[in-house]
Amino acid sequence: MRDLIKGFAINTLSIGALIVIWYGITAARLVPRVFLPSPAAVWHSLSTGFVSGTLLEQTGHTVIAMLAGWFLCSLLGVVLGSIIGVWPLARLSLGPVLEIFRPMPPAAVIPVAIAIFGLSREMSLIVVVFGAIWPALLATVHGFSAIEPRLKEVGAALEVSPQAFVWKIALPNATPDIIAGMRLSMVISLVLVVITNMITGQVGLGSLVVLASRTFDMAGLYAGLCLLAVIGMVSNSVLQFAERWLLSYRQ
Amino acid sequence: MAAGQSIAFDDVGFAYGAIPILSNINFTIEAGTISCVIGPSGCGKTTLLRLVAGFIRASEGAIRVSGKVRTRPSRDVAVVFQDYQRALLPWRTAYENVSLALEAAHVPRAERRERIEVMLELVGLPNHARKFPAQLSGGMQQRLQIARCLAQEPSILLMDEPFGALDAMTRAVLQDELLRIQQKSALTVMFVTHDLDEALYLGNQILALKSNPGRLGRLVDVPLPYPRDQLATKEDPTFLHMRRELFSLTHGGHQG
Repeated sequence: MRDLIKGFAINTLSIGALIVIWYGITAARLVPRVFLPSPAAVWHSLSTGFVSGTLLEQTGHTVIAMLAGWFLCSLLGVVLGSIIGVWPLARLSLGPVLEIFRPMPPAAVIPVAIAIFGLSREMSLIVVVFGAIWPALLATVHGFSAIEPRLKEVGAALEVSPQAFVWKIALPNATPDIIAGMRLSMVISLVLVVITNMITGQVGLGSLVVLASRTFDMAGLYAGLCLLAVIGMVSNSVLQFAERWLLSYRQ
Repeated sequence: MAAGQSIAFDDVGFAYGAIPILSNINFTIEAGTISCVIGPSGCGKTTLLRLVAGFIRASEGAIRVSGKVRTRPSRDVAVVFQDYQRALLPWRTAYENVSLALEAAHVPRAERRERIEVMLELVGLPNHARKFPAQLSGGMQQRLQIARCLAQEPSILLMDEPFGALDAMTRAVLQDELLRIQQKSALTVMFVTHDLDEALYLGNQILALKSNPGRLGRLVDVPLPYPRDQLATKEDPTFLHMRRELFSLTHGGHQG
């Protein structure tokens, strides 16, 4: 608990320092205001945006899209990864198919997704799942296949049934890998939500950023970036807490 | 606990592909006795134990447990591994680790609690039930593994250098506890070790293996009476005499 408070204090200090440096640069006019507005201007843009409600709506859409995509990625990734990890036939048959799709840049899939699903929320969800499922999926496969051989022998000597072995030994054994994969999937989900949002122009922080930049509303642009940074940071720390709690047995 | 069963090695041989690991192993472990397997490293001690466990199958001959040929692992033969930290489930508490054996045996939930508590008591861990393995010392983790093995109600306990990674004092305490538990339960114990003193102290019988390929060197009975005592037994002239006689078998002419 003390470490936690200490860590939080140091984090807050370093972010505070970043804002102070930012303020210093703008106050000394080292960079033209057009390219880097002052923290006060960005703060003003943020507060008016939230007061009018537009920013709240855009942020909400982005967060919900990210969470929905991440949830689907985690669910599909863990289920599919477990099947592949546990069942050698699935690994042999699905492995090559996955190897074809995995290196494909997810952004390249957007035109196909738009052609099939139109400019809909489903389309955006498909793109996110297509691009962000990999860390969760591959980490799960790794977690299951990297099982300690000794545990297999323990299971055999106790005559643990195959189903019970997966549920009671293999899955908990793979949990640290799975959580690490899910955290990466969350980061990629946010990236892809923003990219599809930029392209489709639906309500969201991606289109907000594009619009602000096209109208030279630099304070608005930086406000969007700050919000995205906060979303990324908060979601990552929530998962970090969950990870610590779930894996507390390791200390 | 179930009374012990005998283990008979009937012309047993084992090879990895073309490389012979064990050959012509013939001997019997009587029910309810402790047999210690010693020999230089690489002589196939652990392989012999894994054959009895049923993790691997003999290339030649057969291993019979109470007359029945052994082909695969079963709950009545428990295995205590040397690397306890890998053999325990780190995400389960001590209590839950013992519970695994009962869950596997489909013991109803209502009966588990009492049996787990008895096992933890037996190995001296009644106050550590809620701790995770990472919070226990090495000696305690090994006690926990033994508790789990006893919870599966085996008639045979196979131990693969179980105290090899522990400090000398903990090792002596656990040796005595093993003897106490074995005397009470009449388990058949096959104990693999590279420590001659440990083998003499624990065993009714000592099986010394020679290497390349692993084969029977000597098979001797240890006439020392039970209960044994860390000081008196180890000062007994018979103990010292046997130690001298067997020393060359484990150390002589073979380094490491």
